[in-house]
Amino acid sequence: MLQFLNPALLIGAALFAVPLIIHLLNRQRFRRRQWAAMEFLLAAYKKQRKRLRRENLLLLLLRCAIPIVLALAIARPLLREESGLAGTGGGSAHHILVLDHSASMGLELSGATTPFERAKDLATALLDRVGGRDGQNRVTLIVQGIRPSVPLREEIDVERAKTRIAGLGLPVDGGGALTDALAEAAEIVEESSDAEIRVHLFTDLQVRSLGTDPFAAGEDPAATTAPADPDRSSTSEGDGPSEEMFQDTVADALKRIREKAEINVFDVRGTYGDSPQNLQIQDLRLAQAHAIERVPLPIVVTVRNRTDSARDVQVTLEIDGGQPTRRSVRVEAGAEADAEFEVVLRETGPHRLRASLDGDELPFDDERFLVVDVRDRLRVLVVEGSGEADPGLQDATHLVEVLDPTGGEGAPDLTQFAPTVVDTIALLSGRVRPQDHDLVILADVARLDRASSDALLEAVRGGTGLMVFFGRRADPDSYNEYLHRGGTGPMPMALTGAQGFAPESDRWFGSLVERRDHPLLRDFQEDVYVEILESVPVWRYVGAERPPEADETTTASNDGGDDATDGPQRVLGEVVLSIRDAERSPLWVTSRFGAGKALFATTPISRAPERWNRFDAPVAGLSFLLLWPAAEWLTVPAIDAHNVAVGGALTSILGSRPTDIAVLVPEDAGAGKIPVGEEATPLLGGRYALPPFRRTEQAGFYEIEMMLDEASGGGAGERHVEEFAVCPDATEGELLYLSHESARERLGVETILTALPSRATSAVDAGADELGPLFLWLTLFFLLGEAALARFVTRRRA
Amino acid sequence: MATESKNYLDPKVLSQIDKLEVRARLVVEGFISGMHKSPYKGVSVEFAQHREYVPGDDIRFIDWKIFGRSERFYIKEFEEETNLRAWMFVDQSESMAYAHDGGMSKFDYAATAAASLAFLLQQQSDAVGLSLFADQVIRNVPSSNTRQNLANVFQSLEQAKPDQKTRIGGVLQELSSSIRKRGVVMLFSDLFDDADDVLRGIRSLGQRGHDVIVFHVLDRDELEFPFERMTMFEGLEQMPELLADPSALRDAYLAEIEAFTDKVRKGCLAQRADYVRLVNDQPLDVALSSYLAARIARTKRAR
Repeated sequence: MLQFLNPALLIGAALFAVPLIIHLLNRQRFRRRQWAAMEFLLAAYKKQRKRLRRENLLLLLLRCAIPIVLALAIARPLLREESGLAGTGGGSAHHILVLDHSASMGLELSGATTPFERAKDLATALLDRVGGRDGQNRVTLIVQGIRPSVPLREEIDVERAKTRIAGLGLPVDGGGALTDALAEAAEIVEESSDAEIRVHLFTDLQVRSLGTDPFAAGEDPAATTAPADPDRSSTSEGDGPSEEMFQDTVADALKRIREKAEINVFDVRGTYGDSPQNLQIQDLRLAQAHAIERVPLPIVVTVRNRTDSARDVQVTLEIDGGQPTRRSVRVEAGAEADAEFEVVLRETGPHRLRASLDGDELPFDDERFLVVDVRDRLRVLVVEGSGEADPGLQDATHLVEVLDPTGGEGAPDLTQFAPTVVDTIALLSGRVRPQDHDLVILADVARLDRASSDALLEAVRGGTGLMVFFGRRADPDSYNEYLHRGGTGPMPMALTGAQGFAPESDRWFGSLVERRDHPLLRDFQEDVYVEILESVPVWRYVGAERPPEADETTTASNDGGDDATDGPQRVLGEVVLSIRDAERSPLWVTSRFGAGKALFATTPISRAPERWNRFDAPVAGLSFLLLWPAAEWLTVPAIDAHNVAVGGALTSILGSRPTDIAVLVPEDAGAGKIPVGEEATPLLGGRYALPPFRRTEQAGFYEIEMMLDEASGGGAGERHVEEFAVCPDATEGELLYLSHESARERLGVETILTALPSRATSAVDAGADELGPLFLWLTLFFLLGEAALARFVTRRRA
Repeated sequence: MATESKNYLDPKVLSQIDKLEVRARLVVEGFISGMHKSPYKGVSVEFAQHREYVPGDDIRFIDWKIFGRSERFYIKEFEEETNLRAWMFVDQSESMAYAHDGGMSKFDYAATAAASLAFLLQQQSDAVGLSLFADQVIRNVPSSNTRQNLANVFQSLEQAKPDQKTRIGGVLQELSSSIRKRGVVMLFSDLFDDADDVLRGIRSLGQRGHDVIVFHVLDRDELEFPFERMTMFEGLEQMPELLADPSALRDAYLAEIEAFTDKVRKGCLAQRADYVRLVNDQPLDVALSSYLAARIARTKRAR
């Protein structure tokens, strides 16, 4: 089948008529002459007629053919093979367009369009070519933002595909690896029955998009800039991406694709030269665990300088859209620096913090967002289980003294905790609800029951911290049943029973710091403090198996052991302190359970005469140094549901059933209200989880509006808003690109394209041979033939 | 003066002179010097007519008998008897009307040549007759050596219009049977007819004892076919039209015409007829004198 890249130019073929017209005009423009020797002229004509006709016809054909073949040459015909599949639908070409939609594609170099706009232009131009052939081509569009999406699958209408591409919004404020999109493409290729499949990848070749970031850890800052020339490798020996870094990632996906399809890789950066200069806000955080009403709140903005020179940077902080505060900070090339602010928030509830820089070439990471929930105090529920009548001997008394030394009389800036002490009966009877507290401390509580433990677990899963001190009354079996729950409860280890020596005896155990970097031990960073801690006598403890420990990567995956789809998962633990016995029995064990965190101490902190240890010793305020950081750490939920990275799910746990749920998205995401059709998920304890909203690929403040159901109580019948901040992915701001040389090698393609190929053997035109050059040669041949024949005829007739 | 005379005899110049007699005189005067006498000498004279005496007439020819009877002077005119009788056969078919750009037509050229020779012969007291023909004999002027006859010859040639179809062979045969006395037959024609027919006609003249001289009158265009542009050739004598690129047909045409003239020439020679090609852009005095000189020389050699 013959098709044309420039079909409009075929009109030039009409010039074939010019020689014909000249011929016909010449036949009209003749002299008349009476002739006497007509008989001889007729005889000569009769003899020469055939030869003359032959010569004239051949000349005329050549002259007519020249404009025709020339028009064909410039119209660039393509000869496509029918493959014998015409009419079955299997012979059509399937074009799979993969567009990198990551934040680096929004780079705004001076005087140039963004790489993403170039990608759209190229993709549209490609579809123009595809559409110019016939209606049998199909188009699949895969867009790789945070996650891959397939807005069009096997679309036949090319115009619709173009419209869809034109309608793609700004690049997302982060970036997923193109591996996912290419894997998606590979899957489509493998499932496709098309005889001819082409995958076109449009990307800026940012290293991060093509696999694990190979330069993340402390490499030379100079290596993290873009190459001045795309064909000159920026990845010198030793600091470039190694082949191993692409294993099981992009290379694998491309290998799968190549088994059935051809691949074109387009570099859409467009402008090469000076390295892009990117300053970014890498982090916006509170310098302390909690924001308390009217208590000065230190805020830290971390600025990263990804340019090649030191910069003085103006950092602006806005709170709730109010008057901005500015700080200037000098940031060395390739380094980070903190801009410190201190604000006082006078109202409880959520507040919006926005930090920003003056815009640069990559604007997405020049601002960062944070929602801060300002509290009057943090509610701590202390369940006293010792049964001591003398408050001075109760464990709770000592805990409360540590958490609120003022006894509730002090100003909020002296203590952020508001402890409430109840007895075990209050917990077991349900008079107090753990979910209403930020931290629940079980102080030597003998045993739990099903209801109370369920409430406790549900509270922890929702973000409430849990601190458990086992003592002489603790029943290991009860705890194993209700908190360990075979490894799926928040207590990661099973208890065995009390062990050790008689209190105050001469034989005792010391402890061993196993996780010195744990936040619980933030005040024990100096060796002398560690020695003090480890030398504190521990006479008795509740024996426990060492829990399955989480390394850094798996800890984060703890989801509370009650995953709806995969079933209960084993909860992992961290032994922060251990007993110096033969088994290094756990002393302090932490775990994460849902959104909450838990701490289990196998020996209590007590002032009782038969105390099991001397952590209550006033030496260096030991109990304070242990308990205060623990309380702070535990009251910060393991999952900050209100501050998520781009692409994260927005959800929250509510005490009432929400209805009429809608999400208000920020301007970059369309600035509209999106109704959420799903219902909230009911949880234990009469709570509800909002259906997760995952369309958070643009950074900014999001709101989830809802009405709270009156029947479920607790703020019922009111319009309620949950506030969220979605932050850009700062690592995407690392503008390190693969050179073409490196990309060819790594991706296994022969050519990295920067524009649609214009040559005959264009790889874009799969299965098609361009005949333009052939027709050019034919034109030349005809021209020479015409000249030779004309010369021959002229000389012969002269 | 010789140069002037030569220029004056150029066909282009001659063609601008309407009076054929004048043309003939000019031509003859151009080449007559040296040719004082007819090669055919007469042996007697015959009385032809009387006319009134005009001053200047030779008184030797006054007829004194009539003067004795009427007392008026009459001059006796005699027709000189000669042993040469010449007939001019001039083709006035339409093809003879062709003339190259700005030139003399073949017919005018032939007529001038015939008139010149008639004038020359009459000057030598030879008898001259004329037949104009196309597809048949159109006009005859009997053979005589009187001035009046010469005038008639001139007049007939002047009045002739070449506008008819040709049939040379047949006409020549008819003429050969109508001329009883032997003499010289001078044929002026482009001979554009079937060559064999033409040669048969010439043969019949020869068989009657005539000395045949064929003046083959052609136009320069017909011999060289010099045209370049696309041309619609309109055939004369009811021949069809032909639109052609002359350059494409030149070689073939020239071959055709050359073959024809060669055939005619050889046919004439085979029948002891003189063949003289006259091209209408040649000065007539040169063409005729060179032929006549050659013929005189040949006659002398024969004696």
